[in-house]
Formats: sequence, C-alpha cells, structure tokens
Amino acid sequence: MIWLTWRQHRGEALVIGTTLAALAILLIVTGREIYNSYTQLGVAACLANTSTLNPNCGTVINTFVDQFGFLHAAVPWLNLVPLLVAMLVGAPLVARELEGGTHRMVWTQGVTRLRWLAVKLALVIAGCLLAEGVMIAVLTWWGGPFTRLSGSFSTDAFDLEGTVPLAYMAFALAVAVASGTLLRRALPAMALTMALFMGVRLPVDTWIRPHYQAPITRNFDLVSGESLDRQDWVIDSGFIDSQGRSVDFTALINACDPNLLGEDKLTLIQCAQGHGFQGRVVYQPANRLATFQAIETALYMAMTAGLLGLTVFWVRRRVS
Amino acid sequence: MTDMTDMTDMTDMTDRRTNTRGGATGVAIETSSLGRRYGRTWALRDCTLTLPLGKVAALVGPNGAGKTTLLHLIVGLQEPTVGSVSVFGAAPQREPQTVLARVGFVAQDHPLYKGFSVEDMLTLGRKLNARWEDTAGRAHLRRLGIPLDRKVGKLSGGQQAQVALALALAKRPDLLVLDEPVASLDPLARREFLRALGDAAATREVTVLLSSHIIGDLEQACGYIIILSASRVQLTGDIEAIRGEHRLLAGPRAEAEQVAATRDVIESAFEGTTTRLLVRLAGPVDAPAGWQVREPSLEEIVLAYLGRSELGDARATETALARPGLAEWRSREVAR
Repeated sequence: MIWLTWRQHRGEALVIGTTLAALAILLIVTGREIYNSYTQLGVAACLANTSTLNPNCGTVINTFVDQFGFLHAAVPWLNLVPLLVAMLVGAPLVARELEGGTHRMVWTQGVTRLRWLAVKLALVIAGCLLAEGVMIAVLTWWGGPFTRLSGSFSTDAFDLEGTVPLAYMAFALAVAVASGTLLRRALPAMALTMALFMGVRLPVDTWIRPHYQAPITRNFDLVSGESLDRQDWVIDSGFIDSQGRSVDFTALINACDPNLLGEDKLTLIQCAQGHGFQGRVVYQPANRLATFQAIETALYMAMTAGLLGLTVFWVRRRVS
Repeated sequence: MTDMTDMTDMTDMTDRRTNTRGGATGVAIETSSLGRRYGRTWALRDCTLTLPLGKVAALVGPNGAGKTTLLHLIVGLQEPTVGSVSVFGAAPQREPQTVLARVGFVAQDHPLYKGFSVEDMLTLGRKLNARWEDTAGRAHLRRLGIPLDRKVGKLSGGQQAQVALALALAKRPDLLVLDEPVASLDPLARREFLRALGDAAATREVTVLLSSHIIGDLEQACGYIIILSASRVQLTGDIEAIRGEHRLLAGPRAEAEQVAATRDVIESAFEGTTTRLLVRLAGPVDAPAGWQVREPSLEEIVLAYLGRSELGDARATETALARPGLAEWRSREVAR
C-alpha cells in the first residue's frame, strides 16, 4: 500500500515539493533583508523599551513598515495553500478511482478497502502536514519582526502560526476527500471543496473566533488614552457617552463645537471628555493566545475527524 | 442431496468453514434469496444458486439483468440488501480479507491505472496480495508480446484485458470472477482471451465465473451456465446436461396444443403451419409421431429461457394491475 500510495501521488509530491522549495528560498532571501533592516533601523531598540521611547520611533517603525509592508500584506494569501493542496491531492483521492472504475480493481486485491483508505489517507495527510509545517516554520521565522510589532493574535498572524495552519490543512484534505467520495467526480469535488473550506474558514475567523472566550471591554479616559499591549488583539474600539451608550465620532463633535474638527485634536478630546465621553476598547489579551490556538485547532480537528468518519462510512457502505 | 445439507449450513450463521476449501460439499459460491436494491429498484432479486468447485461457469443474461450486481456481491464490492452470499463459506462483505485473498476479479472494462506501466501494475499486485506468483504472469504477458515497460493506457483493449487477466491469475485465486471480460474486445482478441482463460482454468484448480451477454463464444470456454434475467435466476447447471434435457420439437400446428399439454414447454414459435416447441424432458425422449426432434444449441436454450422470463414478467404485471402501486413499481423495474 505504501508503494502504491507513493506511486500514485509522486507527481503531486513533486509539484508541492518544488513549489515549497521555491517559496522557502524566496522567504529566506527576503527574510534576511527584513532582519537586517529591522536591526539597522533600530526597530528592535524602539520595541525593547517602551518607557524611554526614542522620539523618532514612530518614524523608524513607519519606515520599516513602508519598506516591507507590501510583502507582509501578501502573506495572508498563503492561507489558501491548504485549499489548493486539498483540491490537487484530496479531491481526486477517491473520486479519480470511482471515475475510472479502478476502485473495483484495487479494492479486490488482497487489501480491504478500509485498509486501502486508511493507508492512503494517513500517508497523504502526513505528507501534506509536513509540507505545511515546513512552510509555517519558515514563515514564522520570516515574520518575526512583524510579530514583535503587532503580535501573533491579529488575524494575519494567528492563521499562519502555531498549530492552527496544520489543522486547516487536515481539515481541507478531509473536506476534499469527503467531497470526492460523495460526488464521485474530481472536478465538482474541487468546487465543493473550495465552497466548503471558505464557507467554514471565513465565518469562523470573523464571527466565532473572537468569542472563544468572552472578550474584555475596557473604558478609558480620552485624554490619557488606552494602554493596551501591542500583542493584544483589539476586536472593536469606539466611544461611549456619559450614559455608557456606544456613539461614533460625530457625536463627540456635535456635543462640542463642529468648528473644532479642523483645529487641534487635543482641544476636541478635552472638550469631549468634559461632556462625559469616554473611549471603549473590546479586546482579547495577549496571554490568551495559546488557549485560542488550542480551541481553534480542536475545532478544526473535530470537523476533520467527522468528515473522515463520513468518508469511511461512504467508502464502506455506499460506494461500489 | 448436497443442496439440502448446504441449506442447513447456511442457516447456521455461526458455522464458519472459512479455511477449508469450500467445506466438505465442494461449493465455491452459494447464494440464498440474495437481493440488492438501489433506491426503489431491485437490481437483483431472490437469487438462490450454487456454483460447485472447479466449474467454469458462464453467467448469461441481457444487459441490465443484474449480472454485474451479482458479481459485485460475490467479490464483496456490494452488500446484499436481503439474503446472503457466501464464497468458500465466508461472507464477502463481513470477512473481506478471507474472501479477497482467494478471489481474483476482473471488473467490467478491465479497469487498470492507465498511467502505470505494465511492470507497475505487476508490482501493485505483488504489494497488495499475500499470495502472488510473479513469474507466470510475466511469462504469460511476454508470450503475448506485451511489453512490460509500456504504459497501460498505450496498450490496445485486448492487451489491457490480458494484463487484467494476468493480474487476477497471478493472485493464484481459488475463484476467478470476470465481469463481461470479452464484451469490448474484437473477435480475434476475444478468442485469444478465452483461450488464455481456458488454459489457466485447465492447468490450475480454479473455479471460474464469467458474465457475458454474448452467448456464442462461451460454449468453448465454459461447462456450466447460470441464466439470469429480469433480476432472477432462470436456469443453472452443466451445459451438457442442460442440452441433454432439452429438445426442439417441430411438427404441424394443429397438433401443437395436444403435444404441449403433456410436456414442459419452455418456448413455442410458429413458422407458417409448423410449430417449434422447446421442451424440457422429464425422462427419455418421447417424440410424438410425425414430429421432428433435435438437440437445441445452447443459444437456442438460453434465448428460450430469456423469452420465458419476459413472458413471466408480463403475466405478473397483468395480475398486479389490480394493485396500481405495485404494478407501477414492477413496470418501472421491467423497463430497467
């Protein structure tokens, strides 16, 4: 079975391996520049000691972000890697056999179809997790300076660090294999995989993840400002009036003098504070990162297990 | 009767004689009231048959008669909806390892991995089967002039069928099951394939069950026949014995009714003033005076039974008309 799995998937392994190597080289080359810049510009020094802030630190950080921000902004596209790999490898895994009728040949050799499925899934998933793991390791090193700037909790970083990317990969493959088994055709299975993967990931990212634990809401003086950690994950921020109701910025202006808008911002804020307005921030503190990673990993692994269970059921009972 | 003892064994589900060669009765395949339904349509119904060890059996019937379903049930690709199937005393779906180790299967259109070389396919067989005889398969393919380094997809249909047969034979199976192995082959390739199959069956202790909707070629390769039609078994037995038990009677139409009254008539046909009756003999040949008698060909017998099964279904439909729901259900099945 190991031989057969390798023989059937070696082409895909070659494509994935080559792409991964190219990506790793790109990341290592640009990563060295990022680290050089990070040290030379003095970003590290600025972040090291926030109490004795270098007055130039704002400029230093802006320069650094301007220089490499475009690269950092491109990184979230790597969230699509599990989806692409799953469409390439997972969707045809069972579907291609059913399309060609070869399942009738391979399931009537001396190996039962359950064993066939188990070995293929184990090896293919392990191989893809290895590739994803290598990519995430290189990416985590590469993004180190950015992580120190904005933490690992923001959506950009959270999705591509720790254990969750591996869970996404396993989930994507399970979605793809199950789709292929259900639809019995590789091409529609690819489409269904895309729809299901995005249909789960986007809502989880946007609506479910912020509530794994109840977020902390803190009100603060407008003049002294909020004192959040850089690594905290701000989910929402805004203003409240003296009754504690959420209001937007125009309410502050209207309460004071609309003419203040073009003037010194401090005057406006002092005026607003005088009217009882406060700032409000809703956030997840940085020390919850590990918990959130664990919860999201468990969530995706549970869905993966469910889908693989369905696949086993379909292969055993429904398909012939 | 061996049949009786087998029936009692069938009811005793705890009695698993998986390690003996089909048990003391010498039975390769046994099915009992076997049926398989897809949605609301029965693909196979009420199928009870026994295939003794060592037979080379042809499973014949029109397209859609349930041949593929029966074969899939035998090799464990499908699960029975009702009834039971046992192969060497084991249930193919419940004990796949036991059955798969002893059964070689060539599915319809002999599916192989088109991107694999012939050599790769042989490696696949070696890796996936505990029992594997590499040299014979290779020698066989070399004799046929099939290059082992050629991609399977680049071979002709006949060559692919031969590769699939070589794979199934290299398992050293006790039972070889082939689904329409010659349907897609040209006449020459068909003859070569059946010859290779016949050689294999003659030199090894192997029971063969092959399905076909073409009757002509089967007589040279097979000694046993199972006629399946309208999802039911119509007739089963040794071809020689079956031919011996049937006669074609031809005589004047006026006497037809009288002659038919005392005989088991399978089919009757009229040509002008002549009546032709295919009858099943209860004892020695008793030709009515003035009637011609001859032994029918296998094809004539098969077609007669297939014709009768259609008639039987028509009758059943008529009687069922009183119950609209059932009639509708049945006619849909006949259409299939």
